[in-house]
Amino acid sequence: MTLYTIALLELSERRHQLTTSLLAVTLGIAAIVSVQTIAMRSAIEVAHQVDALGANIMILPKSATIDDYYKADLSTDQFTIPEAYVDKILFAKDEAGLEGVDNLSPKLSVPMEIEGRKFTLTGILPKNEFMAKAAWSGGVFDTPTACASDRKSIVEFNVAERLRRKPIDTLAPDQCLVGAELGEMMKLSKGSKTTMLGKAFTVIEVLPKTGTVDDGRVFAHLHTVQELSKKGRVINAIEIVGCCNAIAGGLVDKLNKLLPDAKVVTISQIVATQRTTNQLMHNLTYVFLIVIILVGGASIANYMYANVYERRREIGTLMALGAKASLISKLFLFKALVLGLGGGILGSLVGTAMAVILGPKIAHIPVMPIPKLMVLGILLSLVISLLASLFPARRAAKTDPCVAIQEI
Amino acid sequence: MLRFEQVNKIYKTRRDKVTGLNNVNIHIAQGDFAALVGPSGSGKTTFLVTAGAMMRPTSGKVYLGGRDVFAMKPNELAELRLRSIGFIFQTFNLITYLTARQNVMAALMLAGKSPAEQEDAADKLLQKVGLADRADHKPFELSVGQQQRVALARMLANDPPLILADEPTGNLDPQTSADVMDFLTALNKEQGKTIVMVTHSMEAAKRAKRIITCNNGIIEEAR
Repeated sequence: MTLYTIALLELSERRHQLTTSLLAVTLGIAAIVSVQTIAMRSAIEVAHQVDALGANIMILPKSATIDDYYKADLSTDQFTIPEAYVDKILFAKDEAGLEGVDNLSPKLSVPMEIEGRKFTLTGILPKNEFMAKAAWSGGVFDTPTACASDRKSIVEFNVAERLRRKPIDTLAPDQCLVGAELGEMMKLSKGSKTTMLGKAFTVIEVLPKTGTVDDGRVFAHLHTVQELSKKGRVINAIEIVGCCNAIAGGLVDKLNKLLPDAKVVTISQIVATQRTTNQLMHNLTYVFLIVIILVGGASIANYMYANVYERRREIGTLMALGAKASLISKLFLFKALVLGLGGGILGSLVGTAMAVILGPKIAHIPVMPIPKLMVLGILLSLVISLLASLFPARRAAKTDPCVAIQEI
Repeated sequence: MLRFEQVNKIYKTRRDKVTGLNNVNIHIAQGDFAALVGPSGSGKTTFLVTAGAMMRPTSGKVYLGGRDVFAMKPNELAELRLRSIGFIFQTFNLITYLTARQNVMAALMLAGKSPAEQEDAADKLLQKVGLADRADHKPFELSVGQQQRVALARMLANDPPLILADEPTGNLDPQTSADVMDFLTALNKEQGKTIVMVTHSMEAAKRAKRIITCNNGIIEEAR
């Protein structure tokens, strides 16, 4: 016989009261776990969606618009910015902590005409050029820690998508990548030779069809395009794949401060939607947290107070037999612990099941269990249960042992 | 063994004051068997709970084994009740969801005995009160006489030198009452236990060595 045996036997004897109290805790924890699971999965999903769009921040000349950029209409000199801006961002990332810059792609587009049709020659900077920059110390091509941890790996994308997301590893001055439409029209394939703007190029890849303006582009080394365009070390834009959480967290403001002479634009609607959705879910969690603290806590406190009152003769008898006040406290706190643990485990399981079943219907996203949240749900339940039982346990410990003799 | 020195207990209610004990001076020697008789509300139970270190008197001193009981801290009082005092209650006060064995084990658990020691000692005690075959029964499965015997086994669990009995035969039929009194008398005679028993039954009181009367908080020797 131990103190814990007595507590467990007593709990099992009063199943109805136990069930009611357990139900209140279970429902509260289930609500928190389910909402938070959906919210976290939603945030990850939005991150995926933003990520799937490719670049979500553009650094453009002050006078240019995002439409100009997509129409490749930035060929005039006034629509250029110095290539040195790339170094600035790399330095800032290295020194001041521009967390959230997932990918960086400076581009210079030059119009050209082939067989009477207009195409665009776009200069890009391969990864080895970034590596060569003294300021670069790694990290810009890694997924920042603030981003969704289960973001799709870059190797899972095809070469055209990869080009939109990551710099190509190497690109020699006379090599080029050809968009699908252009490749088809000019009957180019891997290894073909072609001449553009008077320079001979070897095609190293014909990109798969993407349905975007990229299908009509030729990608060559940025410095080659700069030479061909005779514009010097300038670019039209820097495409940035920013982690959506970092964008919501002020990455755009930081870039604006860093590059006051350029225009930093973002896909604000998507970011705003993501922020609103996540904030809504976040706030909802607080609402449920308050509900569980009030309802669950009150239910447990009520159960415990009733238990202390009903058991006062038993407590008095134990005290008359020599039980110390601390032992009586422990007896009730152990009951609270069992209640909290039971409610926490059940609540976490029910909440996760609700999220998995209802998540796709409510948030239109697939929802998987989040073990960390389940553990947090159990801990929360334990804390609430123990806190709610502190005063009843104290009252029990202060029971007058004389009640053992008085008529009740 | 037990000494009251000028002990007063005044219960204060909103309107007036009620005297529970009125300048009580009494000495219960080691091995004594005292029966406390008197009408309801005369102060018998007040005397018992004060002697049992459960209620602090308004004034005066209570000594148990030479120690000033109410100079002790709460934990020391609990320890005193555990080691030195055994209670017998009129309504037995068994824990309803525990079996007879577990009720006895609970008292042994408070004394820090291991579960194996508890079980062994509980079985011996239940055998002593003639309930070895009822060890796994819960109180509601036992007759009132059997319940009081479980309570007696529990009271003896930690071998207390002083036994305080509150109407031990109050809820029992004549035969069971006689059995319980035989048991208490044997404890007093054979083991030298000091017994203070509150009772309304003169039959039971006659079995004691001393009869003390209690009236309006005043305690006097009757025999």
